Amino acid sequence: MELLHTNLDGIRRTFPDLVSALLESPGGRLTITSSREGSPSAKQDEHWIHSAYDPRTEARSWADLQAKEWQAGELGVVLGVGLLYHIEALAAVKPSGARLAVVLPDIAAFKDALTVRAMGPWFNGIEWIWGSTDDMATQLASKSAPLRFFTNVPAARAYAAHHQDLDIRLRRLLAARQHGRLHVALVGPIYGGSLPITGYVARALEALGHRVTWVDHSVHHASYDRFNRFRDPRHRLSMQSRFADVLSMSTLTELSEDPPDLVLAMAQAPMSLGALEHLRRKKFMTAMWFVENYRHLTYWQQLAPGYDYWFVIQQEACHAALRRAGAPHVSYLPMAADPSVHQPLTMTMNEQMEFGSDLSFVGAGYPNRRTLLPRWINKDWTFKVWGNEWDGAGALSSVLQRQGARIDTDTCVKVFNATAINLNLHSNTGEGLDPAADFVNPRTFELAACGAFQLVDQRALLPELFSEDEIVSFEQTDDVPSLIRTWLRDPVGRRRIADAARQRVLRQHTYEHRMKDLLAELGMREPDRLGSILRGDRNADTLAAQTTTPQELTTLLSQFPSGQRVELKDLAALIRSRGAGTELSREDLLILMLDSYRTETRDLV
Amino acid sequence: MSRQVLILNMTRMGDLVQMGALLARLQEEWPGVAIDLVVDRRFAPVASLLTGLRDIVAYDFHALIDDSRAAVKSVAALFHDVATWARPLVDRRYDRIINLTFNRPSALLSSYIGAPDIRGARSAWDGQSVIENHWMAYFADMHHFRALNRFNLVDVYALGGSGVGTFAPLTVQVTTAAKEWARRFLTDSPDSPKEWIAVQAGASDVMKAWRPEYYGRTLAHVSSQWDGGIILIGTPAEQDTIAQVVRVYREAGGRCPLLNAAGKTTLEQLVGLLAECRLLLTNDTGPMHLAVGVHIPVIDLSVGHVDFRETGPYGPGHWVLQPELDCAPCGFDQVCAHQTCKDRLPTTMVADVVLHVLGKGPAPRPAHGYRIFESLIDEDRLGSFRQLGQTDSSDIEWYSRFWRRYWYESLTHTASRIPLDSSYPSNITAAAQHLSGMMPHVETLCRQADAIVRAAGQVSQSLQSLHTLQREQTALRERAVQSGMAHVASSPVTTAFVRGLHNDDVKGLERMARHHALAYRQWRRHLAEIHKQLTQTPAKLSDRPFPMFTGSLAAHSG
Repeated sequence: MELLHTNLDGIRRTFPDLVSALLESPGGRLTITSSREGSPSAKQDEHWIHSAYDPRTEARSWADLQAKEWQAGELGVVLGVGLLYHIEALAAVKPSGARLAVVLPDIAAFKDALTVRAMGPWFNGIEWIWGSTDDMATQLASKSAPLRFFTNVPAARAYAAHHQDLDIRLRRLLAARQHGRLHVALVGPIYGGSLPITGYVARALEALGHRVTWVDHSVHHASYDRFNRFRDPRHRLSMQSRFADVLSMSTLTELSEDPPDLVLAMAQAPMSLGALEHLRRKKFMTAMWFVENYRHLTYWQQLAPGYDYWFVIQQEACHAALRRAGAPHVSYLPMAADPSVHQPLTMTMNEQMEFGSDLSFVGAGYPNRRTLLPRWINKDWTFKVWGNEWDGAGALSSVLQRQGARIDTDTCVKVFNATAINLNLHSNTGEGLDPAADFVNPRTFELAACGAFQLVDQRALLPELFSEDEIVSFEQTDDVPSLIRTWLRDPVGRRRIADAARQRVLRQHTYEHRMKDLLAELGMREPDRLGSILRGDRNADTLAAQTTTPQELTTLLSQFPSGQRVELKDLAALIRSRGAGTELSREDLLILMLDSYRTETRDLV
Repeated sequence: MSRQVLILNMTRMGDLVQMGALLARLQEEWPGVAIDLVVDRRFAPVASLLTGLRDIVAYDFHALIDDSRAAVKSVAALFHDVATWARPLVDRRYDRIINLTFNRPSALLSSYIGAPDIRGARSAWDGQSVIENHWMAYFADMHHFRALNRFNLVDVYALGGSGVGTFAPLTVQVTTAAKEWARRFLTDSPDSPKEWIAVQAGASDVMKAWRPEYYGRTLAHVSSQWDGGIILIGTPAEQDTIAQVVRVYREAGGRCPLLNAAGKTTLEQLVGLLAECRLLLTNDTGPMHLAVGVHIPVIDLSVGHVDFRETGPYGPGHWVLQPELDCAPCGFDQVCAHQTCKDRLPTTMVADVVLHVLGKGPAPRPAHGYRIFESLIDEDRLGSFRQLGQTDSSDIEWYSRFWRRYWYESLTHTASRIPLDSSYPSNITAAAQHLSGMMPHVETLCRQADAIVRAAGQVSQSLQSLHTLQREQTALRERAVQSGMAHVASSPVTTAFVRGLHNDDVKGLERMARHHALAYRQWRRHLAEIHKQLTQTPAKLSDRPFPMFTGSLAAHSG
């Protein structure tokens, strides 16, 4: 107890409520055991949270590794408390100007630690983040420095769910505080599945109030496709690669003429590593939403270090792979639906006849679908298969619609709406279910948004996106026929589940939600750039109120509406708009000089 | 109290070295003058090697471009940063600011800092850029008549920034550390030749870089008659170019040892290295001026859009090789697919020039397809070039000499010591007729301008009548300008007139009208003087007073 009081002495004034909570806590969460080296170690739920041999050396090694990425000015946030060896080691190596915060999910465990170890002066400089999850998210959201999270896995293991919840709440909090307007340049692919998603993203960003420049390369699809006529695949690949380089340059040119706050690229956007590195040197911020299976499409390996931020639809193994390949920041961002496109429809009788059936599948002819779908052709129900790349799938010829022609989004939505049970089978290059079934495909969200009932193969990331009351999944392909029979007999049940899924999408899984999360993440990582814009710190009134804003600028700023974002070009335009008869002040000259530099493009293109 | 001068020279390394004469001239004008220099951070090391500077005020203008364009900082933060940086400059209250950067941001900066005497680009009261000082205006105009220009930038800077004075060679300091480093670098070479030449095969713009394979062949020729060493200099980005040079050199049987110093030196060390060399064979590049500054002979291959008359090696003892081609030199914005001019310089000829400078061969003989020039200081103590062999007797050459004298006398109010031409161009009669034909129109324009001044000065102006006068004048002016620009006898002064017309820093209708009237009158005086000179015999020309053109159009503000 003496150690506890001694440890708390240094933070009584700065964290009085925390001290009170600690004194009232019964503790007893950790099992304290002496290490081989002599200092205390501990277990929690039968797992060692520090080394049983030498926890201090282990902590120093961990801290040295973490500190390599820690930048001056950043607030390091540690997840995982334990006996604080690793926190002490991290405090000893923090870069100059950096601060350290620790998330305390469990006061009782923290008390155990303070009772068995004497902390040093470093302890008094830590910023303790504690309270309810909402409280903790609020505390972190209010920090002015960029956040850098360090997770000590053994000590954090018992609180993984808590930390995940904190992450989500923090992002939502930051997303909710977004009222500044960004200019986002959205770079789309030439063709492919992420092309419609690019459209949804553009619409979502605009709906959130941001200005979007869509660098649309789909206009070049016909030219790109023409290279497929070359017989020699080397010629084809060479030409397509060079063509993609030209499109990369054209993107740079477009960006130079209207520089954005953020360059957001979608999967398969034709951006070369050279172009991305050039953008980084010119201080453009770049992000990629990789809405693909990283195991199937592997070009990320070359581009990983090119984008400042990666957003992916998969988790741990994917994140680790990207980081190994050089990606600086990787975050999870699942797919979504666009309710303005994916919505319930009232079908005419003809449409119902054309698009409707008991069972439908919409998608491309991947190997596992060619193997599995024929098994579910049955005289007891009608079955229609829609989509392209089904050449040679003779077993499905009786159910393949429109001779395997590609179908557009509108047709897709009609099929979803007109079908009693939509089969949602994730693609796999093998013959059965995907053995690494992690991410959830866009179709899952699109079907749900349409209020359409679906049977989907189980995915590791599905349960956190949809509950069992909102979606029916299967783990074994043998279960599918009985599921079809069961649900065909229960239209009320189908309606209930489909409605619940749609409500879930509208609450949490639209592209607007995703873009808010994406921007919140970026705002958190870049508090002085995107973060300040999103917080409204670059609006006229906020700028004018800052003590560092010169008086001469305040006068100019007062001429803008208070909630309007004001940048250099806006001030310069205001000065120029005064007309030919107005003499310029010295401050006007400086603004115009800065604006002259801003409009330079020769170094960029 | 000693004077203070601020020079803004922010964009090119070569420009910094080329202001050497200006620095000396300012000391001549104002002994003990304190000269500060605003320079881009990347070029601060070069600036530190110049003599005559008090403070080098560096700023990362490229970072400023990046930060402002990508909105990295808020406008308040950007403004605060730059204003804080500029405050000491404002507080020093310079007597003169010389802006050698000639772009809009520098014009705004010069006016922001402020001085009673600003030369070069500055901001007018309404934010438009104007050029102060006739020589700086000449620099801004001369790309319209490049073929007629015979002034080196070094002299334009010195004459504009200061005035007429003594010839001063460009000088770059070789520090002791650099000298020692260079000697170690060279003696560490396996073969340790007794003497070295340096070669700059790359360039910032591929248009002005001679082909790498030609460099290789040239050096192979040289090595057949000389046993020194060859140092290849350049930036890390030029390694591919250098690799090509080396490959061709070896394939062509090159025997001299090669040292690749590209990317291995600081600027200070490069200067030390150049100082140890017998000569530099180069494209038109920053290192060319550094070599001039350490007083070693330069052989300049003037290809692409480079005009050696403007930016060639300054002072006596250098050589320039130029292709003889109608399209050479081409325009700065020219995108040329063939770059044939580079094929007009025979590698054997270039090698002969190198060997001659090394004392291993006779002076080269010019031939069809290229011209050879030797640099010198002319009678007016300005940098110039002499063509070897048969002098060009074309009309363009005649007019270029004419304009050389004309502008010198007009803008310095000093008689030129360059001997008059004893002949006239073949089109002299047509030229005289052209000028005679222009004069009535220009007279009318002057009368119209005076009428506009009167109309603008009336208490109750009739805007409609003013507009009518202006419309009539505009129509006539456009025709007269078109005519003036179409002939070498009048195009330079017509260019100056057009720029002068728009180069205003005046407020109010009447003052604007007076400014324009002054521009018309100056144009008329120029044309009359040129006509007189073209129609007088050479003997009479030597006795004439030189034309006086006083007053700066840009400074004609009320």
